[in-house]
Amino acid sequence: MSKEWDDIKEKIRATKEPLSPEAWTAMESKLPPSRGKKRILLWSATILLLLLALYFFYPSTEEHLPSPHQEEKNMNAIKKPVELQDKSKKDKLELEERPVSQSREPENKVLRDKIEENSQRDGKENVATKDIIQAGVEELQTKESARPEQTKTIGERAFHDVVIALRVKKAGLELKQLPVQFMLRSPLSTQISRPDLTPTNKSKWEMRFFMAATYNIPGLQYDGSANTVHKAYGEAVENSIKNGWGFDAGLEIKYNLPLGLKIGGGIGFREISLRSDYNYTIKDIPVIDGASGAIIAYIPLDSASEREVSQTGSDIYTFVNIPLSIYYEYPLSERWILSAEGIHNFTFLLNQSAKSVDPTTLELNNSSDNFFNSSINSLQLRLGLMYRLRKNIYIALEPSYREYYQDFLREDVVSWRPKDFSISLSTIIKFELPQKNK
Amino acid sequence: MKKKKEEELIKRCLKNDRRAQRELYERFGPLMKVVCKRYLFDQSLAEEVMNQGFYKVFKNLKNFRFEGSFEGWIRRIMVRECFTENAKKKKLFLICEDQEEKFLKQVPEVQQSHGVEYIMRLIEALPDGYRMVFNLYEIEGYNHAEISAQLGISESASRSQLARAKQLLRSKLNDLQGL
Repeated sequence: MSKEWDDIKEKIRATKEPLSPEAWTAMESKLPPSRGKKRILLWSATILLLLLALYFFYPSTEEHLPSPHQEEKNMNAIKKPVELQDKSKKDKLELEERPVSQSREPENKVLRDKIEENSQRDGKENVATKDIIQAGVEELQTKESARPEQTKTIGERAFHDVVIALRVKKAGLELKQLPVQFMLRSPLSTQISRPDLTPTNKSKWEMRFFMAATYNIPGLQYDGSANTVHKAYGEAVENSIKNGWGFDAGLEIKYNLPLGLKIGGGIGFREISLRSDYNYTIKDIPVIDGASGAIIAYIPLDSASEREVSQTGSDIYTFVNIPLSIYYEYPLSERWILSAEGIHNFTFLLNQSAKSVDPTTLELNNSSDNFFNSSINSLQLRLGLMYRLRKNIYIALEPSYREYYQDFLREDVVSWRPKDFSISLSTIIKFELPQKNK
Repeated sequence: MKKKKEEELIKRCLKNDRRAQRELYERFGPLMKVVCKRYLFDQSLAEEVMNQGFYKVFKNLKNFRFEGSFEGWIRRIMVRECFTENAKKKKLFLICEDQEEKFLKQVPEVQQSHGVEYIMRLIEALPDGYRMVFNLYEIEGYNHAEISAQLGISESASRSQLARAKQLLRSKLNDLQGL
């Protein structure tokens, strides 16, 4: 061959032609979703769900305004004496904000009692202190009653408390004998949340946070009959993938239907982990028909050229999971509830770190994302035993079994439908949607 | 250095990194479009068939072992894809006497100037059977056994097609050495 013709051939090989502007768009439509897109979808879904959860769960101030009857009940409920503290600690605490859910009125009562008690012990009536405190209470009551409570911020309330406390100090009076938690507060402001264990059937919604340990079973099946599969493939992969432990975590929201039924949906993170243990020898090299890809013969390797493949590790797959469920609960007693739940899970592969044996050459490779279906569906049966901790808060222990009814792999010669058992620990919060503009 | 960068790009593509996939597509796409045009009966399908080929490239990337030329590996996939497409359209006729006459009449002889574009046009004007075998053998570097498997013809048919193709080209390129 002359150099002239070789140069021409090289130039012909290197000839290029620009692609049309829409070529990549057409190409991209054929490709599976990229990791970046998967991440964006996952984060968007998570943020949306968290925002929804926050919106539904955030307590409305209007709902927490006490009824006169309840206020009286709360007043009677407070019996515990307030201990006195030293001055340095008191000064620090004076500037701290109190939770808005706690009423000041009972403390005002304790304060008045304390002043009375001190006055009697000193043998004289501490009229000035009592008057200033009383004046402060009245001033704040007047001001606060002029404005709806729900329009005041926590900061504003604390500011009023501090202003009045400073006025007391400015009058040259000693506050060390006053209760540490002393803060002047209108009785209209808020109420004390007392544990109320009365069973409620009113909650239409519930939110469930769960974490589960899962025991993963591979459920792999190999088809060694195809003519593109190496004759020793079955031997190489048999028992190579073993059971392993993974975990689930997520958030679900359920809505009450009649007859103790509920429907629910949510989002979760899922990790499947399987132990891999490859131990085989490549003794033949397949001769592959270029046109059909079929193996037409094998070239046996001499013993010196045979190759041992020995590797152990873990195959880890992470997913985002979207469950849709129907749920039934059966109360056993005031505190204990049994539950059963059927769930359909839509599971999307986020990432994988696994190895796979090439069915034709028996080479052990890192698996490509293209080897897996990006989404698979599964059915899950979950039983649960719930215990009520507070009025609307429960914990539950829930064993479950899940089986995928779609193949996780795109390969024709291997079929994988994972199965797993799991046991989860859940926290369940039942709540009402806030009433708007009544 | 170039090879190392190519390896990194392939590894990123294996992780389904869309930017890397696009980079690879844009690097090899213009070359592969010409390859597809060279082997397709219907050249207007070149880009579509090339995209089918690239889909297979991305899907089978895990099978590339970083031993030979990556470009050569993609070329082979593209060539196979073109012949799969051609098989849907029409059968490849190897005896093309009327096409030979047409070629001899249409293409002017040149004595000295052998610009690449002119030679490419000459090759393009060859009868289908000659052109396919010539391109596969001379440009892609296939041997006759591989050509016979690819085109579904015998090895001797492949040899005779190549010989006729060269004879026709020589008649137009009298002083080109080595052809």
